[in-house]
Amino acid sequence: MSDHREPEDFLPGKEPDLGMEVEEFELALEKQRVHGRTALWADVWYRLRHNKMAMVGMVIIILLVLVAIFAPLLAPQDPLYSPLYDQNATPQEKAESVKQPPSWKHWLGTDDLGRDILSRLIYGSRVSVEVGIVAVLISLVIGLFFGALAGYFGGWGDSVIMRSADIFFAFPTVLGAIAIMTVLGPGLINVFIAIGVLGWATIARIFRSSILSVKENEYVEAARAMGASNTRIIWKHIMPNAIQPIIVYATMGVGGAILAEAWLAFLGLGQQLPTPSWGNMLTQYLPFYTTDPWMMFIPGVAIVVSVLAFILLGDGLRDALDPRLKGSV
Amino acid sequence: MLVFVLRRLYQTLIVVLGVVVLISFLLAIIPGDVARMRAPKGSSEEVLENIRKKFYLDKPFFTRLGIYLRNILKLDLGESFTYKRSVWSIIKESLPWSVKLALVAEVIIIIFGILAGVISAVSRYSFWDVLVTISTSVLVAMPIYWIGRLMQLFFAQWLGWFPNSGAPPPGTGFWGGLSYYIMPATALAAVSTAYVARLARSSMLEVMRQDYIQTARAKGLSNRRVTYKHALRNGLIPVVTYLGIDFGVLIGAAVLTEMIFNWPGVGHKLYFAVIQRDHTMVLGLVFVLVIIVVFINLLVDISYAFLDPRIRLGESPEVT
Amino acid sequence: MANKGETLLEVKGLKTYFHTQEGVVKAVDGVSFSIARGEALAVVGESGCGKTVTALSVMNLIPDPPGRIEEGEIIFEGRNLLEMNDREIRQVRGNHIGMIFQDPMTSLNPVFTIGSQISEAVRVHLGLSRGDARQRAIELLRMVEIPQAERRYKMYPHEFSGGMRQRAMIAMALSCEPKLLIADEPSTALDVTIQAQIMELIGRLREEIGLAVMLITHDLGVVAGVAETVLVMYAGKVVEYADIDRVYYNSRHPYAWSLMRSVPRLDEKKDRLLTIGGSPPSLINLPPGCSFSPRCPFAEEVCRREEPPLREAEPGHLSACHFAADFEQHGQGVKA
Repeated sequence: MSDHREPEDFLPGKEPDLGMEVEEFELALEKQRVHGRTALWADVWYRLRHNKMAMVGMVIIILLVLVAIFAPLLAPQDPLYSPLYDQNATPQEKAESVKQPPSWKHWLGTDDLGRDILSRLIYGSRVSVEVGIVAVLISLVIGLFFGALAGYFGGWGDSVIMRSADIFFAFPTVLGAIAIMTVLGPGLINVFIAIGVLGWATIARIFRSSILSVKENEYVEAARAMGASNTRIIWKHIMPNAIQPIIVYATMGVGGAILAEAWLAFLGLGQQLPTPSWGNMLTQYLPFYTTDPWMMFIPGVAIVVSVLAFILLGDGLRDALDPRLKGSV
Repeated sequence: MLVFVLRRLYQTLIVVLGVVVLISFLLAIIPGDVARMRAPKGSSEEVLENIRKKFYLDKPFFTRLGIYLRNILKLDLGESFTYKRSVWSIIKESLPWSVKLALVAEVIIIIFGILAGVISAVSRYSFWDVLVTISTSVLVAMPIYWIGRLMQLFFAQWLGWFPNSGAPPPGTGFWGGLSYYIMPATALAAVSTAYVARLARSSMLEVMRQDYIQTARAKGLSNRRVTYKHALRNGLIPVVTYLGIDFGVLIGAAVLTEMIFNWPGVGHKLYFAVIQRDHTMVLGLVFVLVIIVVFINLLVDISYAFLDPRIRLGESPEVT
Repeated sequence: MANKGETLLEVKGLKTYFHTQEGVVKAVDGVSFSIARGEALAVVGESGCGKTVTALSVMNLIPDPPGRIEEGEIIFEGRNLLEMNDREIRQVRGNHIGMIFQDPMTSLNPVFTIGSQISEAVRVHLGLSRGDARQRAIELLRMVEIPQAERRYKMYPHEFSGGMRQRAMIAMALSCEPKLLIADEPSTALDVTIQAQIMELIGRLREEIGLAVMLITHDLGVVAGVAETVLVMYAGKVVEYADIDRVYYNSRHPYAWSLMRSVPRLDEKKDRLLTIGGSPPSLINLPPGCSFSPRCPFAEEVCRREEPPLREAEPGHLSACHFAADFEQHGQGVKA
């Protein structure tokens, strides 16, 4: 037990523990862990709210989700409507509709088939949000289950799970996704599966190691001594603490999944045309980079801004959950 | 040290076997009539039957799995359907190009990543620190192939500094050849450099508040000596570990950048194999690349043991 | 005060504040003391009372930001350390003043050998060659009673036990024959038997090389064998300053007095140890009047209103208590 107080203990962001006995302070913390969970989360929220960058990220994420939900109301035009395939359009209208720069009629211009880019962008946000949420959920379900199994029970099950995680971990995400998608075939559902399945190993690893570190704590020992069941110990005592790094990782993971959709689309494996996704829009506009570079900027910037938002929020969450880690990757 | 190396070798062996099984399984499980997908439209039933025979598609699933397993262990990766050549011969021809590009990229990552991270940590909250923090965050959020296209747009189309794409044609001198490497290598390195910079920064900041740094200061050492001798050596340990893991990211990124820059490497071949739905070639290339990643990881792990005496001298290494 | 000889270190009105988001932490608030050549001073107090910050201020190692030495003088061998530039202060650090820290497990750099860490200071300050520095380091390892010094020289910190590491730390701190050793809780992190050995070692080295020691500790049991003078700190201020016997047997401050009573002693039969109720105050929000008054069993109305100055309760015995003069009676009253 350390009685010594480093000057760093006075740094901002530390628990305001000045003038409290270390033992007492730790006791209070322990109490907070076991009983005052709400107080802990209130504390996290307080720190998060004072992190400007994290708040910027959060606002962008909320906007993104709102745009995805209300896409039909927000989109000025049908994202699939192309004058080229319109029986009623005159040849001149057809010729003039293609690759128009931004105007009052088309705020972000039109693409090579004369479709309204803004409308496609708005609808495309749905794919990004879906991929982000569904893929991360799949990773979470698999990863948490196996991570908990490995970390809590240990033994040969632990070895088998962690060695399998090693095998999945050996696959760089791009290669793993390519391998899976080659077998499953292209399409959005398969993107969910590929990204989701590839993410489990990391989550299982993080969760396992945080369970291992929490498991040794005295309050868990105490709960066990008092005859609490395994499930109860996992859910009541281990989960709330071990889940913290997972929350951070999952937040960043949503950003990662949005990026993954983009490069899977580039490989022709993502959302299939004509349904718009930011990935297939970017891929579709890339060839025009010499003649009409503005086209590829639109979905590109949309992707960067939303991925960045999740990174900022993830960073902020990590700092808020564990102020000591401030500034780490 | 020996225990550590043996342990890592054992782990690597398991992983390699796992990858072999996984790839064979994926090859065997491919749904649908592969023969019909591959054969030219309107091929006779006889042709289809021949293709099925050739790829063991007439055999039951487990026999097929067994055959693929045996073939991969014999390093027979089968034949590419589109190229009508063995996957190995394609790899042999394209791998050197990828290795050269990856080496240049790795140099960029190590030099610029560590430099940016350390500068940013040492002068915390300065202009450089803010610049590094912002630019690294933006870089990791960018689709890598878009970075490549943007570079082509700015540096080749508008400024005309570098050739737009392609590998140096035969007979190009060293400096002329280098100009072909700069853009693809930089694009390939971009995301990893950002990660390394962020990691180096946080690692240095963490090390700088360790007790032994205070001890070093209390000894009366200069700031420079404290930072670049006592802190850097410790701060680099996680960076080196990460470089191993990051190699996989680099290989993945190569698939996307090599395509954009029309670079004749493995990634380029893989891109077309994916587009052509050439299953054997995709899985064969993925297999070889993953095995390379696994072995590079092994080498990096062993080499960082030299940086950290705690691992070199056999204390339980913190490899989770 | 034990004035053995000429003054080596004199600290006058030192104020070290930390500027945090919550407010200004007055970690050290007007501390004065002096150490003569060869003298051993113990700085005693609970955690967070400013002991360590005082020591780091002397070394000029306060992390800035957020910490700053706001006021005061630190005069070492006639020169004010606070007026020195970076280069000059580095000449003092490690060369004239050595420092050892609480946790030997984390205070040594894990990636360099013990030997290279010890010889580094010698090479930097005394300009010895690599070979000479090595020779010197091995001598030092012998001096701190590390067996097989040549072999140990090449080992890494993780191959040393806690006690051995602290010995190596001492060797490193003494490598340039400093005149003052600052020992910040040197034995707290160690086992009880090792603690005694380390304190004994410090005591022996003092006599051998005439070293002055500033010993920082919360453990009064440790002080008895080593120090001649005791400085008791509370909430960033000095509350009692006298030679050790006076503080032990005739304390004039209720805080110091209760600290003494909370140490288990073999020579006194007591049914139970006295403990100090409550916890030290927050350094941001100090209570009005005497900082100790909320926890003081003898506090009266004046204590909560007026801050007691540090003054002589008897010749050579400073105390910051309104009732310092007649504290003995107070004490007796409670003891009964």
